[in-house]
Amino acid sequence: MTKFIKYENLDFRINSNTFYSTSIKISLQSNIQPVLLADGSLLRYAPQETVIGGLSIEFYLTGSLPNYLNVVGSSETSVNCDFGGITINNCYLKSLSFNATQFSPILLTADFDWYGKINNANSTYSLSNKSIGGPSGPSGPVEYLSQISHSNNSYILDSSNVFGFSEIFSYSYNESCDRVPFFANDEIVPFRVAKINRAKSVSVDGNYFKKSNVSDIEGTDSICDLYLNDYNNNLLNTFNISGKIDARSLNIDVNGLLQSTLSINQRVAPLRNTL
Amino acid sequence: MSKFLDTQFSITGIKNFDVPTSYSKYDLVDFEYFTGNFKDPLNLSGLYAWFNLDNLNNLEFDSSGRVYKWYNSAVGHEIGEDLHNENTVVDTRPLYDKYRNCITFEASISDIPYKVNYLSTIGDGFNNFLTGDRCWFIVYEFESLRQGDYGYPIKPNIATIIDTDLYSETRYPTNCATSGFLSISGNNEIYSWNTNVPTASQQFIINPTGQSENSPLSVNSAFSASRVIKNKNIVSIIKNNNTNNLRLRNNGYELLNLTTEHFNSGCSGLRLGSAVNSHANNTLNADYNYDGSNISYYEILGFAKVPSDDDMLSIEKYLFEKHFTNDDGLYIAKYNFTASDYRYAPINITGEDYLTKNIDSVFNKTYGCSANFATKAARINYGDNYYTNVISSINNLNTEFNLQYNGLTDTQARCLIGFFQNTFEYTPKTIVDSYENVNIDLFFPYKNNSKIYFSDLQYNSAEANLNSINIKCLSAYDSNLDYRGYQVTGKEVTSFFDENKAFYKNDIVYYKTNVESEKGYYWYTGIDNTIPTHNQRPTGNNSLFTRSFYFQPDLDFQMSVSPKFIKTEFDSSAAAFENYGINKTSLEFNYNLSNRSDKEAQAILKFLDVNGGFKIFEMTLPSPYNKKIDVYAPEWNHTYKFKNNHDISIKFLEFKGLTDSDIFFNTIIKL
Repeated sequence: MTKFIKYENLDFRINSNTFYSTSIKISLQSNIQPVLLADGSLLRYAPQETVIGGLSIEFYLTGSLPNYLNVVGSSETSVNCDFGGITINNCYLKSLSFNATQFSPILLTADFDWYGKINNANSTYSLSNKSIGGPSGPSGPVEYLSQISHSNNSYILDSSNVFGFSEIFSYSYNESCDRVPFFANDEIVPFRVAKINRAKSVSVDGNYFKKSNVSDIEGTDSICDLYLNDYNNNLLNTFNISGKIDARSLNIDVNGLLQSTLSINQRVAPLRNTL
Repeated sequence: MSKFLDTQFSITGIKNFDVPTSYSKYDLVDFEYFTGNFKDPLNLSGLYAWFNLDNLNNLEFDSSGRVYKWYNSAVGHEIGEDLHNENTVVDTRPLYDKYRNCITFEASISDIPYKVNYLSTIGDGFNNFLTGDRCWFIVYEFESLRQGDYGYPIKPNIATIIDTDLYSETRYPTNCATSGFLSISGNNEIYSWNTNVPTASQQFIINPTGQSENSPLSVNSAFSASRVIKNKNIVSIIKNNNTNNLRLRNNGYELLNLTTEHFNSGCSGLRLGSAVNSHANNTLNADYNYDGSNISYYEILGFAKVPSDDDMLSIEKYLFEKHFTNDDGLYIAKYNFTASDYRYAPINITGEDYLTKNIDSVFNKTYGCSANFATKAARINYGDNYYTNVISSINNLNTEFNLQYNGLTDTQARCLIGFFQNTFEYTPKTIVDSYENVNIDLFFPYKNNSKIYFSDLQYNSAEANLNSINIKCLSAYDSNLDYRGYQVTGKEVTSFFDENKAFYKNDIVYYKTNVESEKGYYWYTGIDNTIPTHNQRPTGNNSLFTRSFYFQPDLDFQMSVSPKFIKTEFDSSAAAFENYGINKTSLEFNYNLSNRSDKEAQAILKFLDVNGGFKIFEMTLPSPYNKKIDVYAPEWNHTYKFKNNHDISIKFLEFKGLTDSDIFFNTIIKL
């Protein structure tokens, strides 16, 4: 009979900060190519690139969002992740997202690329809610589930007043970038993992949009702020987007419910330094 | 920064080296020894001693080629103010080094009593120095410092730079407090008592009576700002005979400024290479035995005055410009730092840690580096597809390296562009040389510390703060006449054949034998971890080694056959086709060898390197040809794609007329 190892009450840490995570996924992918010779024989499998690992976590935010989870910021430094007795030292954040629907806790998803080795590390196997503190804030241990990110008091503010919804059912936020590794000759761990294609996007579900001029070929300017609060209305973090509404849809399902969706996209364009 | 320099750059923001100034990592820093113009020594009054090597007529050589006289170039000097060595033991005389343009003084500890070289003034030496002010400027370099065991636990040797206290022997050891003696104590990489100075900094000794290192006399408390071993440096001694103020400077950094009687009245001679007061005599305070080590002198200036600060800087500048070729110019800041004083000048030990011209210490070359080789052999064609390759020089291969620098920030890119452009500013070390090359570590499997010239730079912007630069560079001074090879010369590819060693496929050995035709490099083609038997050695009957090109191309290879024929065609007639000689087909084809491991790539590149683009070797063509032919490889290129992954492409030209196959015919040939 297949046996599963069940992990419960494990801590997941980023840079030694514990996160109230619900799932963690680690993967790795090598990039090799068979080399065939003129006589038809197989010479070898040649590495085309280093082994790239993936790390995906889902967690509830229990304090302010630490700076190292800023995807579109200028910092390209790596973080250390500990989980289930292993440590990965060179994890590079490439996306952070969440989805807020009514009366639900808000689960954040973060995706990382990692390089190098997986190392053994001490891990706690008897974690309780009380020992999970905010990742960087002074909020202290989570004593009540009311201290996790929750849609009850979180909201999106349409500052430019272009949504046209009288009611918002749900919304999601995503910020992402591509991470490009650069290797010194003879090395398989990158000396720099640059951020390119930095972008933010927001998708909003609401009722019928009372707007007529929605087909501008250059999109519609939109600025909005997303306030991520815990259940008790303590502000955890504010996200913002200043982009273009580039898609809308209107759906009526078999139950006769009408739902409208719009998406906002922003290409984050950091300026060059004037040297 | 000078206007001349600025016009050569396409970037801005180059900073001048100055103190005190803060710099950030990757700043480009223009270092000049000092601002202002240098002053010719003749334009400064009080010049009494000027020993330079501007002209070899300044030296007299004995029959053994050693120097026994170094003329004083100061106007109006007396004969006694030249430097002499009339000792009948000729090996006490120094040698002239034509490559470095300096006079080298040797000290031999293995001889008993040990021997030192010296040159000195005669008589009272510089009469005007007997009572007046004086200053000395010396450009020198220690080759090594004699290590000694002259005390507890190990007291390094004290090595003379100059001794101006030649005729006051009675002072020693009772009255050394007034001696005019400057030396270096030991090598504190081995023996150090002062942890406040950088390792490789040497203690300057003025009073050699030997005080405790833990509480030295104040005149002995100075440590050199620069390396003194295998490194030129300038030391300046400024003595005011009225106030007894003594200043000691090293490469622009003032080490001492105090009141002392040293270098006072009476210190009127000059001796180089060693001290005169029988200091080498073991009966005299052997614990503090001091005398010569291996030292070279480039130029010495003495003035009977206390120069103004401006004059002092001008003379130091004059010496720097003359003797420190290419030590000025553009440097790269390795770290964020503040240059608080002239110890941070890049010619000094502290400054070396912060400013560099070695881009390998600052930038990473990244995957994608490539190399292109092409022979300069002249091909002389004969009939019937016969030809020979004529090598016109010892450097028959043109080599171009493409160095890839990816993932650069904007700051790094600017820095690398500036450094690249500055290399065209370098000056030649001699009037017949090219301007100075760049020393750089190439990439696997090529040479480290290679001497190359930059030629082109290609900049690409990928995103804000993300850039890549490709630099093309040329290798000019490497020759494949060296048995170690041309560019692939590492120890692992130049080892001699060892019959007791286990070999792995693609191992490379150099086989030494008295049979000239069998001498050379061989490649192991057997199975891994095999110790070859006698018959399996490179020249054995069942050898596991080869000198043929045994590497296979990729599966998808192309090879065209284009036999020669003679086509005669006139405007108004049909073409006539005629046979072409006896070798109608001479193959010309390319091999692609992609995704090869480090080991195989190294073996392939060493094979091509050894054959130098013109030597003929055998190879067996892949199926369906399967024929063994003679070829040479006039061109090839190599790309370092990723770790343990290389792409190589090679052009082969078939060569007729070398092997038996061309001699035996099955068909009668009618010529």
